[in-house]
Amino acid sequence: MERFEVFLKDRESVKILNIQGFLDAHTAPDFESELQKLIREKNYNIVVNLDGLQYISSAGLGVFMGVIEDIRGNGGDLKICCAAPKVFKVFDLLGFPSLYEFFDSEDSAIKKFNVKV
Amino acid sequence: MSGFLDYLSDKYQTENVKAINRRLIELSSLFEITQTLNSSLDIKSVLNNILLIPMGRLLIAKGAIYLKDQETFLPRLSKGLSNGIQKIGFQENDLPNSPLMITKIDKKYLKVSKFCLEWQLPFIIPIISQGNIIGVTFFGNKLNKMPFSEDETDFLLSLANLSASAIENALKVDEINRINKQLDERIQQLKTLFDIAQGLSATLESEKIIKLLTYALMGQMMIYHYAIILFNDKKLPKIECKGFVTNSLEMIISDNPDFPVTEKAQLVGECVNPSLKNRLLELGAKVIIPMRHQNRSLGIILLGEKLNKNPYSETELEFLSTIVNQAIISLENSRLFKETLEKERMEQELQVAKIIQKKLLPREIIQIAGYNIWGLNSPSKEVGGDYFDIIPINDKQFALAIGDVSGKSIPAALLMANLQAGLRTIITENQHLDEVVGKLNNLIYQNTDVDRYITFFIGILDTEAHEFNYVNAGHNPPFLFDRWGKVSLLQEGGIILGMIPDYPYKTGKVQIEGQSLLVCYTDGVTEAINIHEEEYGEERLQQFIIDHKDQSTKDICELLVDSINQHAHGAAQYDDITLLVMKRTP
Repeated sequence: MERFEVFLKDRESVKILNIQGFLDAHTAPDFESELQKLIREKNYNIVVNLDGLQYISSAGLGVFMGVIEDIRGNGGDLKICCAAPKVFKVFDLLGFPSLYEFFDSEDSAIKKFNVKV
Repeated sequence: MSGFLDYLSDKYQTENVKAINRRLIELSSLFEITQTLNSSLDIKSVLNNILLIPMGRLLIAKGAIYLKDQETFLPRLSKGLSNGIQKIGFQENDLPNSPLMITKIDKKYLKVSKFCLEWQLPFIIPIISQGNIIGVTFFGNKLNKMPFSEDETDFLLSLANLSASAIENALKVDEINRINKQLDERIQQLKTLFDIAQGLSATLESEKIIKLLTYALMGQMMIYHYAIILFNDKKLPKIECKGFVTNSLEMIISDNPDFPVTEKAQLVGECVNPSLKNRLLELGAKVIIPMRHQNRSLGIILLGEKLNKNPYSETELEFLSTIVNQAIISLENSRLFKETLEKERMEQELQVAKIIQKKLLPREIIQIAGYNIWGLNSPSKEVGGDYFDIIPINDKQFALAIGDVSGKSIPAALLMANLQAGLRTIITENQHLDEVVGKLNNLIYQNTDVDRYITFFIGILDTEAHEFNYVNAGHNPPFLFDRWGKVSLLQEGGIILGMIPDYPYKTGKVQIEGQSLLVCYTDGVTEAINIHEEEYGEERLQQFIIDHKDQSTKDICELLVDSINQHAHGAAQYDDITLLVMKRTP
């Protein structure tokens, strides 16, 4: 079974979730609960770093959809960075880039928050 | 020109590839769903996927799923609704049996369309299994504002169909797990009960039993407030209490002497007496457990709130009743054991007393020339302190003594031993009989409390002069019958031994003529009662002697005991029967 891991770190006022491995139907709840925890603690500026993500399934994408209105409704945003081409292709095909901001690096994603703030 | 064609060709190919890739994702989504749903029997994970997969696939930010629970459809999971979903229930006829997009209030589906609009979940996809709606999913609009295409609707419907059996299976597994968990809890309770029962039955000390019980209650119920109130006859109840205010508890109990006690453990909230209920709730008690044994109320147990604040369940109350019953049985066993021990101790004491008495009484009766003497002691079950003795003083003088020590069992036997030893020491000094008795009186007085005393008769027979000097210290006067059967009572002497020091006893003196018969006895003879509580009595005794005076003294004694036993006819006798009979042979 492929492993999936989530690492959380703080950069400025932004929460960075680094997700690694396979994000599929089995691992989606882990990712979802990490995001829910951030929201419960009123952290609404979130960057999800896909640097180590090897695979994402529809259920994994569903997690992004399930939290976005709550985050934006509270004046924050969820930005995605460092997706490998294979992973980005999936986001792209389903039209995520029209709804979410994608960045090549974590820094540029954070910078975008700072500009807003 | 060729550049433009290349561009068109590239664009066409790219569009084509994109469409193929999109189709691939769609298929892989369905594949993923099938795989996931069929591999998971966990209802939460199944429902999670039913919502998350379409949301990811179709860019939907909200979703909710309702499942049929008995007749009503109730919310089970929602996504993207920050405050969770309102607890609205639907009936089967509230719901469409095919996908329906709600854009305005639909009169046919009034309730559900209102709900869809309010929660911005306009797309209804029913989950159908074997023609029945078993659940329904609601989805929000796509975040990119695009309408749902026919393909996408088909996709959602396929998903719903695929998930139906997975949901049903998972629900069954969920139910089985729930039942299993209940079973496990029951098993755990039974195990505890078994452990406690073992621990309880291994101990016979009531304090230990109470300790064990409190540990079991605290451990199993996760409580630290409890009170065990043990009623003991009339006296103040014994309270073992932790966490409750003892003063208030004592007041509640003294204000409610007939504490309304139900058969089984009961929630304080369900107590029928409103003032008692309020006071107990104020105290912090949540549960009343009666302690009953064979319709007797032995006490009550009060329990406070559980640490996890959960209410007490029906099975827990049952469990509490059982565990407390177990403890009560152990407490009763402990009480019975103590009683048996006490009884055994008394039996042993009686045995010791019997041995003492037997050893102090003459082993064989001395026979004196010209006289025929017999004595016997027939001890009662409780061993009274009867005593008789025949002591040779010299060749021609013999002392005959009979006495009755107050009390029973060992104390009486010890006092009797004291009397016997004292008498045998003093009488060899060859003093006047009244002085002998006076000394004995002082000895007994010094050695006993005022509530202990001895009735005592002693006489010294002179076998040459046939004189009989005697002192009667409060004993039943012996009868002296002459050869014609005329009786005289030997009463001269004084009061019982051990009451007044330095008491001046007087000596009486009688002549023993030929064929005279002296009968000394203790009150066990005359006070032997029958079942009508009639005493054997002095008259009957005298008549018996007159009727049998020609027989040997041994026969008289033994036949008299028979006669007394006949009179008693099975009625319990509480006193020894002691006889000392002397006859001057013709």
